[in-house]
Amino acid sequence: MTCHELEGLWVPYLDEKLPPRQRERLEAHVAGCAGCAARIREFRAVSELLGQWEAPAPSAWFDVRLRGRIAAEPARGAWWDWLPPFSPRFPLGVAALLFLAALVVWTGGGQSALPPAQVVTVEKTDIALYVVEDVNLLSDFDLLSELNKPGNREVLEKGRE
Amino acid sequence: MALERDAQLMLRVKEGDDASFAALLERYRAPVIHFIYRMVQSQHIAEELAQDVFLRVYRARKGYEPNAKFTTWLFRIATHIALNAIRDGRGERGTESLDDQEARASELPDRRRTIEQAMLEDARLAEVRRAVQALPAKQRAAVLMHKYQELDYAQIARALGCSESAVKSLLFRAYETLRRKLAHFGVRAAGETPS
Ligand SMILES: [Zn+2]
Repeated sequence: MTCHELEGLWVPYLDEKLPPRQRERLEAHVAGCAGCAARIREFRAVSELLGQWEAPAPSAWFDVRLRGRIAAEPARGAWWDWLPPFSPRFPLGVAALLFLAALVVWTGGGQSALPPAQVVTVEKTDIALYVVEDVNLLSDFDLLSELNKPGNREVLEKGRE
Repeated sequence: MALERDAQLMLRVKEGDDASFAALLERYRAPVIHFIYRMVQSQHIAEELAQDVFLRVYRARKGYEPNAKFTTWLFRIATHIALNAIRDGRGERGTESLDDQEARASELPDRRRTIEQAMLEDARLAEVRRAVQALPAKQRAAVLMHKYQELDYAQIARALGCSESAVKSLLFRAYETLRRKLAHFGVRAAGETPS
């Protein structure tokens, strides 16, 4: 076995997760190869150095702030929660609602309530969008990049405060 | 097969039990913040992004299915949020703010270090942090999940969306880079010290 061929085995070897036969082969190589013997020591030393790097404790306000953000979430999960913020669907949805309202005012003169047929249509749309977004959330992380765009994020943060 | 405890908690969150969410938060708050902190090396940004992670978990509760270990799912979300932030240039700062450093210095236990020792240690840690930050983001994520979160190769592979052998390769390359960069900082000497 050459040094190069062993490369895939180093990390599992140091983690003590190498099957016995592979481990024996690696150790046999290391016994006769000064370069690989040095590499083992240096990998262990790197791991030790990394172990000295402590991360700071979470700040006290972390939970308070998170609870605030969760409390601001609608309890029942309205369908618009699942829309990516400021996706093309958002302005389109607003435009559609405005159009619908204008239509109602124009045709009904603002005297009667919404006709039942329109209410049913809106409810069906709710369910469909809810399901689609739910699947997206779990499988499509582009949603996250949408959320993370600097502009969106700032507006979003303001909206949550 | 019995469901792991975290998955059971998450299923209760799905049913509307907020106490179970609090239990998961209690358990994973520090690991998630620490992971992202070591990715972006800023406490402030790390906490911002960790907030997003837990909010994502909460929002995804209704669709949650225990197909994988809970930690795999959680770190998949955390990794994506961190990698997206880094890609968008929001997640990387060359150095920590003075506030961050001072806050942590005050947390360090008094080990009666001499000034010289302290300076050496600080310089060495700064070098370690710089070396980690210079790693490509995916290698960095793999090393951090491997070293500090102790996720196994399969879990890291799922979190990063790659194969297990790709994870081993990422880890090997990362360790190779680190040992070369840190060699002048006594990596060799430290390795030869019997433990
Ligand atoms: Zn060799």
